[in-house]
This record gives sequence, C-alpha cells and structure tokens, in this order.
Amino acid sequence: MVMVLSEFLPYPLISLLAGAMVVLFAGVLEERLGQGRTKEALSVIFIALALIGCLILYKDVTSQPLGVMVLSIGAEPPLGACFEIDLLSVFMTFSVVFLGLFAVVYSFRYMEHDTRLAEYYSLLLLMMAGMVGVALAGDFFTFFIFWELMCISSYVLVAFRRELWGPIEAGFKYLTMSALGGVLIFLGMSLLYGMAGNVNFAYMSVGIDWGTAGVWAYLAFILLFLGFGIKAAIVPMHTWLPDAHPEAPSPISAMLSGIVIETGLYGLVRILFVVFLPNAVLLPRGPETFKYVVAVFSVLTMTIGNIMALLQKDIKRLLAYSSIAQVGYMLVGVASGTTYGLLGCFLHVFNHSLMKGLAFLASGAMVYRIGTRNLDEMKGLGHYMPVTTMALAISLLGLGGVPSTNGFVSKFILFGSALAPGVNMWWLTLIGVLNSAFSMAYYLPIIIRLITKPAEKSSELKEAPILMLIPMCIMAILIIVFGIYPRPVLQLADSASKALIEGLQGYISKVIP
Amino acid sequence: MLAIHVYLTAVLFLSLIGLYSMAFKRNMIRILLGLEIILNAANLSFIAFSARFTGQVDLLGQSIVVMSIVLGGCVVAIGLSMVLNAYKHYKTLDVRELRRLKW
Amino acid sequence: MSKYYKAMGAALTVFMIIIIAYTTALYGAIFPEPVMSEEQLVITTGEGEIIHSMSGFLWDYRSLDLLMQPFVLFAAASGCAAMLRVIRRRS
Repeated sequence: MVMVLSEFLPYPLISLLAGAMVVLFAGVLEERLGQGRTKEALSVIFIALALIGCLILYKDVTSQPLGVMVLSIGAEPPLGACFEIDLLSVFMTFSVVFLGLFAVVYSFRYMEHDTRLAEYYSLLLLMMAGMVGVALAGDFFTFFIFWELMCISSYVLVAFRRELWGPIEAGFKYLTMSALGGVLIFLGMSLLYGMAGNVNFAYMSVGIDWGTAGVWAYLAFILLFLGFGIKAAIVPMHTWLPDAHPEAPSPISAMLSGIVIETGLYGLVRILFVVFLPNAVLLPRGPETFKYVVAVFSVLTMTIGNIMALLQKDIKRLLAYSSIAQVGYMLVGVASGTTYGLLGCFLHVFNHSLMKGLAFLASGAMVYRIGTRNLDEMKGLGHYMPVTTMALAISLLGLGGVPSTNGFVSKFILFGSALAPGVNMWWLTLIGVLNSAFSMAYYLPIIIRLITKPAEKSSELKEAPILMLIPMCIMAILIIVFGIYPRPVLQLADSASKALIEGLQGYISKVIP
Repeated sequence: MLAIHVYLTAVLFLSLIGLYSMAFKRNMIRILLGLEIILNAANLSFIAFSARFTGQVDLLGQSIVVMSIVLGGCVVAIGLSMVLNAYKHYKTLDVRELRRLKW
Repeated sequence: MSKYYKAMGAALTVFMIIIIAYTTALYGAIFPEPVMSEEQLVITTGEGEIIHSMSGFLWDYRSLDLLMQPFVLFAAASGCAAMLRVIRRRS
C-alpha cells in the first residue's frame, strides 16, 4: 500500500495525512470508551515516521541526476499537478516535522485538561501536512491547496479554547486577515496564469513574455507580496500576529511562530527566485526594484517589531513581536539575493524554529504553573522552576544572537551577506546589527526578573511536569550544540540554497525538456 | 469575444466591493461575504483568461475554479463556526464589540 | 479612534496601492500573451463539449489536487466539529 502510494506521494506526507485520519478516529473511539492515551501515542508515532520519511526523501532526492525529483499521478507536468522536490523543500520539511515532534510531546501535559483532543491532534497533524505539502509542491495550484489546508487547520487551532473570549476574538481576526492573504495570492496567481498559460512554477519561469509584461508583472508581484506578507507578518500586514500568538495554546504558538510564518516566507522566496528574479533583467529596472522592495520592508519589519516588543508586559505578546523582528532579519538574506544570503535565511528559519519554539514552550510551562502571562508577576519564578528558567534564558540569549548559540551563526551569515561585493547594501547590515543589539534591551530584563529573589516564599509552585521538560531540555541542548558545531545544519542549508539559485536550470529542465 | 481588459475591469470592481465590505462593514457575516466576493473576482479572472482566445478553452483554468470554490467554502465554514462562538460570548454580531483584545 | 479602525486604515492604505497599480496596468499596458506551443497547453473544444472533457481533464491532469481536496474538506469538517461540538459530561 505504502509502496504504491509512494509512487506519487512523498513519504512524510503519506505518514502525516494517514496519521491525521487514524488519530481522529482513535480519539473519538477513546472518548466513547473512557480515558486513554492512544491518540497521543499514535500522533507521536506518525510524526516519527514522517521524520524517517524525510531522511528517505533526502536520500532519494540526492540520488536523482539533477537533485530534483518529480512525482505526479497520471499526466506529466507542466500541465498535470505535480510535486517537484529539491533540497530546499526537503530542508523545510525537515524543519516542520522536527519542531512538530517537540510540540506534540509537549502537548501531552499542557492540553490534558482540555476536551476535544481528538480534533486537536488531528488538526495539528493536518497543519503539518499542509506545510510539508507547501514545501514540496511544484505547481502553484497544488501549493495553494496545501496552503489552504495549513491555514484552515491553524485558524481552528488558534481559537481552540472556545470557552474563553480571547482565542475566539484573536481567531476571527486571524481568519479574516489570513484568508484575505490567501485570496490575494489566488488573484496574483490568476494574473500569472494569464501571462504564462500554466501554473507550474518551472513553466512560469520560462513561459512568460516578460518584454510586454511590464506593469502586469509588477501588479502580480504586489499581490503575491501582500498575500505572502500577511502570512509572514511583514510589517504593514503584521497586525494579526501579536493577537493570535498569545491567545493560542502554547504548543500552537510555538508551531505558528516557529514555522507557519516561515512557510509564508518560503512561498515568497520560491516565487521570487523561480519566477521573478531570473527574468527581472527583462523588466524596466527589474532586479533593483525587487531587491529594494524586500530590503525596505525588511528594515521596517525588524525596527517596528523590536520597538513594539520593548513596550510589552505580556511575555507571549513580547515573544510574538520578537518573531516579527526575526522575520525582518530573514528578509535581509532574501534582499541580498545571493546564495550566501539565502543560506543565512534558511539557516535562520531552522534556528529560529528551535529558539522561538523553545521560548514559547518554556513560557507556556510558566503560564501552566502560575496561570498568568504578566511579566511582573513572574518575578523570582527562577527559584521555583530552575530548569524551565534555564531553558528560557538559553532561548532568549539565542534570539539576541549571543555567540556560542545557533542564533549567532545565522545572524552572522545574514548580516554578512548584505556586505557582499555584488550586493552592496551596507546600510541594511548597519540597521540589522543595531536592531540585534537593541533587542537585548527586552530579552535581558526578562532573565533578570526571573532570577531575582522572590518577595515572599510560596510552597505551591514547583517545576514543570517531566513530559514538558524533556522536549524543552533537548531543544536547549540543540541550540548550544548547533551554536558550537553548526556544520551539519550549515551544510544542509547550504545545499538547499544552492538548489534554489544554482540548481534552477535543473529545476526547469526536469519539467520542460 | 470581448477584450480581456473588460473582464479585468470587472475583476477590479468586484475586488473593490469585497475589500470595501471587509474593511467597513460591522456585521461579521458580511465580512465573510466580502471575502467570498474577492475569491469570486479571482475565479472570474481565471475563467476570463482560460477563454481568452476565440474558439479555444483552456481547461486548466476551469478546473482550477472548480476546485477553488470548494476551498472558499471550507474557509467560510470555519469562519461561520467562529462567528457562532463569538455570538455566544458577546450576544452580538457587531465586529466593533470585539475589541477587548488590542486590535 | 479604536485600534480596530487603525488596523483597517493600514489595510486600506495597502489596498489603495493595489488599486492604483491595477488601474495603471489596466489602461497603460496590453496584457501579454503566453509564449506557448498550442497543442501542449490549450485544449481546443467545440461548443457544448467542455462539460464532457472537463471531468476527464480533472481526473487525468489534476488528480493530485483532486486527491488532496478531500483532506481540506476533512480539516474543515473536523475544525467545525472542534468549534461547535457539544461536550457531554460523563456521569
């Protein structure tokens, strides 16, 4: 069965989609029969299978002649729907599944008092399946279907605690803005379809008459940039994020902040580097326009994200604004437009998924114990929850870019990429480094507040449950390990960024012989 | 066959109507309707491009529209279930009442 | 001036950009024609035949999308269940 399916579906996707169905039915049966832990165990098993599937996929892709694998049912691309898998897709898939594993293990204890857990785990798996599909799709419409799968699941997960008013309100706002983004992507896709006559990424790269496209190409770019920008929380379109992230359950915040907004960034990078930038020389003042648009939005995003984070009293809201700033740093790599910049961008996607995931999980553990998100009431919490505080401190130092954490490595590459000879955007590096230093002004007070002596002794507070501590400790160790020895991830991200820029001809020739 | 620009003008106006109702309407259900109108503008654009040349129909555009209608329905279904929950909390459909959170 | 209006104002500014770009595009430039080999991309049909060739096209060429669509419906259905299901307390 799996062998037949794997002819046209990639392994991680089979595992996640099958898992979503099995977990839902197991969970509903369990609810009828009484208590049980089958659905949790099943979801961990299926995500672990997806992680193994990732490794198989990596082996398959590297063994292909051009480093690109095409999977389709029936008709061949460009007209037929297809998956077109290169190393960048595998890298994103790996990041999604890796963070998902930690989030699910953490959910065991965090969500134990909630009802409707069958739907929760099923939707979490479907959201991951949607992100994996977005990363693997080789056709814009297939991409869009998976995009909607991811979006629909995440709307429900944000508003999952429906008995409180906050999640519902944040969820509705998230739904209106994000669905608007999806529709704008669809509108932009229709213009590209009109210009190319097809929606395959590789075909759109060569099939558009760029000489006469002119204003229409820019219009399509604006629509797509707005659509992806809403999902990636680029600054004028970021207003949903600081509401949705704090109100969602903590494992979902970790997933949203760690990888869902980066999926929006991935979509932008894919369409920009496959369709627009290779042909930009044919447009009037093309390459500069695209790069400077991204650079200006990058500056806006990181500056406003950092300034707003400084004003927050709510720890999860602060972390949400800090995610906006981090997206700004990633855009620096995109604006440089070189392999080195993209290497930094995708390395930072992976590192940020670990760091911000850990920060949300650790702050969620504190919220689980004290029941409030207010930073003032967390004073002296480090004396009761030493391991959680240690993990949070490591993640915050990593987000600030302290050497010997993995955040330093990726930020170093990102800011260095804007100084490369062909790029020459020294002002971008300057603003980035200043912002990065400035961000310590709100990371350090959190740590100081946590480790000061508490006002009065309280005996009820104790360390977070062991099932929450395990994923947090592993992530904290990985942050340090990848900071001191970044070579394995660096090599993977390097081949991923090379696959996008230098492997573009192979990507196209695989579909259009 | 009309020139493509006529259809594109219609797409522009439809999306403007949708954007207007998303930005200014107070009723939550009307906001969702605005979303659906923009989606239909995009659908119209696909159909117009697929039947652009006389005597030929590109089935790709048509099949994309067939599938996108379902996707739009799914999003609106989730939106309506959220509206129901919001109504339980606030006893109103006015979106301006939903501002206990910092909008 | 509530924050809601500020958010919508920001959104409207963004949309004004789209509108201006769209109108300039609409009346300033002809729409580019696809560079394509016709028999590969455009399927020519007579009147009334579209409906019949349509389902065949969906199954032959877009089967992957068609296969993934049930999962979107599945997500929407279980999402609605999660949002609206009435929980009965076990006695």
